[in-house]
Amino acid sequence: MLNNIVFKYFPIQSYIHMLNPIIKVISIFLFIISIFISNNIFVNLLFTCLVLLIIFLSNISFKLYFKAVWKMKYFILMYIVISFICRVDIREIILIIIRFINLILYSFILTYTTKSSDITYALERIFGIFKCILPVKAICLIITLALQFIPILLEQTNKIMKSLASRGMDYKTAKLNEKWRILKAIIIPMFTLSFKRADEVADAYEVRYYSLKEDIVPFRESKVMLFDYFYLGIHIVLLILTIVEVIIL
Amino acid sequence: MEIKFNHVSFSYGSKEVLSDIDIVIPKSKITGIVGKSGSGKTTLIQLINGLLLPTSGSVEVGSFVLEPNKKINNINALRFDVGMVFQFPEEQFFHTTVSKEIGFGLEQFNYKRDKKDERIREALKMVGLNDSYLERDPFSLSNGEKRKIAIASILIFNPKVIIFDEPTIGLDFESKKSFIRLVKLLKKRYNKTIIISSHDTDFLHSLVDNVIVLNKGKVVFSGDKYEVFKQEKRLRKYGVLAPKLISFSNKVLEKKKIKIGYRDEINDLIKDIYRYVK
Repeated sequence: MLNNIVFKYFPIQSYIHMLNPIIKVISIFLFIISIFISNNIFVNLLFTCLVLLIIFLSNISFKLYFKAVWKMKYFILMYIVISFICRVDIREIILIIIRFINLILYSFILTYTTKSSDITYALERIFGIFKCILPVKAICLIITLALQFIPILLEQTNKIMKSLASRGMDYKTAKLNEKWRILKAIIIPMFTLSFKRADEVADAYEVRYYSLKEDIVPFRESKVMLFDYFYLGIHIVLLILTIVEVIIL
Repeated sequence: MEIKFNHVSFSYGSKEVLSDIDIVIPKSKITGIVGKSGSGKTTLIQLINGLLLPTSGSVEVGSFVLEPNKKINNINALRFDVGMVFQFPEEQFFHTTVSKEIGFGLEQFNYKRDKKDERIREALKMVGLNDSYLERDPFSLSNGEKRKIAIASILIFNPKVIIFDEPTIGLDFESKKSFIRLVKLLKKRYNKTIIISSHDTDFLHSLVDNVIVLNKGKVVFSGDKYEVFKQEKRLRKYGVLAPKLISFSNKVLEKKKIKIGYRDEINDLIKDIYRYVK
């Protein structure tokens, strides 16, 4: 089940879904800068409150977000163990964990509430200023495809695991050395599938006259509503407050 | 091997996919599972070989009982008895030669390993392919051939129950015909219990003995295929089209008041009509 929720877009109605994708992407950048410049646990907890409020407004179950964070438990545990070995201050450890969770939750908000095509559009518009020195369009296309592929590949892994289990190689019940064999068995079909899918996607883009060389007129009307200004305003205010807090303390 | 569903329900998180399924799939018969997309067909068949466990109720597969949150110690013994051919099984190949791909299950189940090569050849022959395929790359084969290799990789360990999930998707007419021949042979000569889930009622009608119709996770019809398929109007209500042969007989009866009976093959139906006209 978890495989089906990672980086997946949920097409429902909510305030966050209705936000302009450009505003959403700019806000996530501001949010990332804010959480990385603040070294105060309480300020970071305030960011968590903001994230929780946005999750509430996104109309997507809290459970889905926290399941995704739960998936990172081993990574967090590993960080804690290494920090203790290196005798890192406990406050520092808590701060990093809060930052990490905030970051994960916010990125899931973006992917759950925004279509990958909208994310690409927003990135293309934002980074459009670097067009002369960077292949912005190609980079954005790569990001979109990567985002689209994650749920597809996870679903496929699930299918292959079931197929292996029905032929006597169950990952859940396997011993450690067998688990390694199963992982090896999964990698090959995943690669073939990835190439096959990539080919199909490339063909689909091509038959619809998509070209990296030519500029296309965007079909979207990029409307910025009052709530968009409000949403962006909150992030700007938070960033300013964080800078002030860092300077004062 | 008989399969019993005792008031089985299954949910993915808060979403209930199957609700109160209480059916028996008889031994040595071919049973078809029909329903719209999302009606719970695949979930139902995955409950049979323990890939999923019921949220409530129990599934009895021979001597195995699958219950909620109850880990089965000898799960491989169950999967040895219940072979499953997935939808698009060709996407799940991972060996570089056909012989290794087919022999994979045999190795996992530690079954007659000494006769491995012989059994690989037998399995290949059963699906209508010859020894020249043994060293070929499975990824380079045609869709129909890939599907046959996937079936051979299940037949090799001789399971008592064989489950096919949407076996005809992407197959041409010839491949469909050879699949029907193979399934009939498996039932007639080897007494296998066969379960097929499919949207294609015409295909199922030519093959199965019994039918289970699912709608929104519930069994709406279950029983002999003629008894189920002749209820054309009620089936349509659940998004299932009756087989054309049954539909034709129903129309003749409705419009001309002539009872020509139900047939599995078009040729038999034509003979009936010819006899009647004569």
